[in-house]
Amino acid sequence: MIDTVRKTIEQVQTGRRSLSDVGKTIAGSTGATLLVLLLMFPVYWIVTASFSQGAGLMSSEGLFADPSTYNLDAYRWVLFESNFVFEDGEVGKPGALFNSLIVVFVTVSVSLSVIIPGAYALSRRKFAGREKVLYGYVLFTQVGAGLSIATLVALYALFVNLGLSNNLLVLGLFYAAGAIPFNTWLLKTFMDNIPVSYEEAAIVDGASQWQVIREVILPLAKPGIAVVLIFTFLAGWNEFIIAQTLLQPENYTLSVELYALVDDYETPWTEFAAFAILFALPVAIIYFAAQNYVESGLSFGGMEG
Amino acid sequence: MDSLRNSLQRLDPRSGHGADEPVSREREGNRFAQLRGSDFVESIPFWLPATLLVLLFVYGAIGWNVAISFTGWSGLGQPDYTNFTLEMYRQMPADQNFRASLRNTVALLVAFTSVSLVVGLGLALLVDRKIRFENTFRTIYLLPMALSFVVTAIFWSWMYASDGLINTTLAAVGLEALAFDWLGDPRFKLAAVIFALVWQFSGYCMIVYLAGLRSIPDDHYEAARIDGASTLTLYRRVIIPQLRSSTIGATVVLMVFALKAFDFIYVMFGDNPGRSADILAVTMYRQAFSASEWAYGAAIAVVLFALALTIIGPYAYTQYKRGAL
Repeated sequence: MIDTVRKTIEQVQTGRRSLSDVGKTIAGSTGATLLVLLLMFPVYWIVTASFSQGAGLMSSEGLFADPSTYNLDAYRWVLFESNFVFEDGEVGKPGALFNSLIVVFVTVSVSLSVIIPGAYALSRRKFAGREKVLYGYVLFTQVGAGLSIATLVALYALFVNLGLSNNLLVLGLFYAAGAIPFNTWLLKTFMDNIPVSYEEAAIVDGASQWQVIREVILPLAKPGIAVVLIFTFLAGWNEFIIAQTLLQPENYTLSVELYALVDDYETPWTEFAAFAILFALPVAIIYFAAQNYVESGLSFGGMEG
Repeated sequence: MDSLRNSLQRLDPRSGHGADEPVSREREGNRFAQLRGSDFVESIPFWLPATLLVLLFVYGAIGWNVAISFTGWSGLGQPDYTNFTLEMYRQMPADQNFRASLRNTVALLVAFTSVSLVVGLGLALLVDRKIRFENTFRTIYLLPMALSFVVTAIFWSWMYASDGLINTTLAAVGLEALAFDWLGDPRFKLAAVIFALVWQFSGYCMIVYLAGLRSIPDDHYEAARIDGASTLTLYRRVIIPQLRSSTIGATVVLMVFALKAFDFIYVMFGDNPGRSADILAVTMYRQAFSASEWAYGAAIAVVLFALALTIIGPYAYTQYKRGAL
């Protein structure tokens, strides 16, 4: 840090860097830090709440708990007594975490297994109607899948009729269907940027069609596949309202279970905060660990536009 | 982009432009052989499963939803698909709640999208100033978006509570006059929701804009500098115009998102937020799942689809025309 400062001063003195340039960098960093504090304050607050000794949150006298009372009771409650891991904390009765994992597993595995070949076909095969299929995909990327809430009445009627409403596998399948259009489009665009010459070289060397896909396309498309993996995981992990409408209590996923903690009069705030943090933790880890993948996926719509 | 695509196509041994033997043999063969050897048929196993899933769950559900909206189905029992009526759509214009929620939906759409874009652009310009720890900042800004609405809606309602964090802070700095009952007062309800949603989504806009900023070639900046452009002119004439595609992309995503800001409002207020914060998606849910007016709920969902289509349709169509797909 001090080295940087010294170097900067030197650069200014020797005229390699203008004073206003340094000023801008300082102003930018300060502004960014202030904004982080502002943005992150709610998060900081919920974290301290989860360590605090009950109540305090809704009343003006105790916005912040006394640090000397910090403890892990709430986490203990969430992990061993609530429905988070096991139902009512009874070992052996799978709880919300298991339900969420089942849904997410179905969502991710089904979507990946149809998105990768689909994206490949749309990227490399110039078949008739290809553009139209893509158009239909892109059009309903947002309208259909994004607006899944608007299909809720039909879904409910359909699933209740078929006796599938309380089924985690069907729910996962539905999330997968919703995730397909956007992610196929994303992966297709990614594959478009893999030079065809690599495949040609492999074909010249006598590789079969499948070998080309397995040994050329898949390894080169890894970053794109990682983005799809993250997005489909998030789709299944975070979704709330469809799960809430279709599932019965024994099949509640984590988001529904969290919502069930809220009570108009007596919400256990400390426990709620701890539950929310444990629920959001995997997502936060993914965002920090796979930052570039997440960002490239998010900026994709804007870049192509 | 198009030229790149064309050259790829020319290079692609399977595109049929080359003089490969299989292609010429195919041309001589009969129609059936042509069809069998075509890329279309050959590629079916690749894209069919995906398309079927989408057709069944997305298009199928939309179609069924439209059908239900014509049935007049309400209460217990099953919809009667033999007797179609437009009654549901006819009663909409007179329904005060529907009109209020339509108005709120449009207000939310416009305010949320424009404010998020402006804040996002500001953040992107800030972060683009080669600041220290840039990556950390970026991830932190983005983090709220990754959180489930159940989490964000609940803790925003704590903050907005009449003796919650916001009012306590206002009181602490001597601004008691500005401490309102944010979620109880009809004047502020929707604005409070929009503010919280902007908090959650401006990071997304920042990422989109940052990608756009980074794709502007450096010599554009230098050329403007040499021409003696001031910083303000630089932003107005060089940078902002080149962010057009980022803006369009982000706008579409945000607007469609705003249409379904359902989860947030539902978690905050339940299925009856009152006329001042009602949006179409919530009205739909209430009509269908609380009042058992299934057909009316479905009809409101159809209106939602129509709105979404008018937003995304032109966007997807221009993409299609430009060959960007």
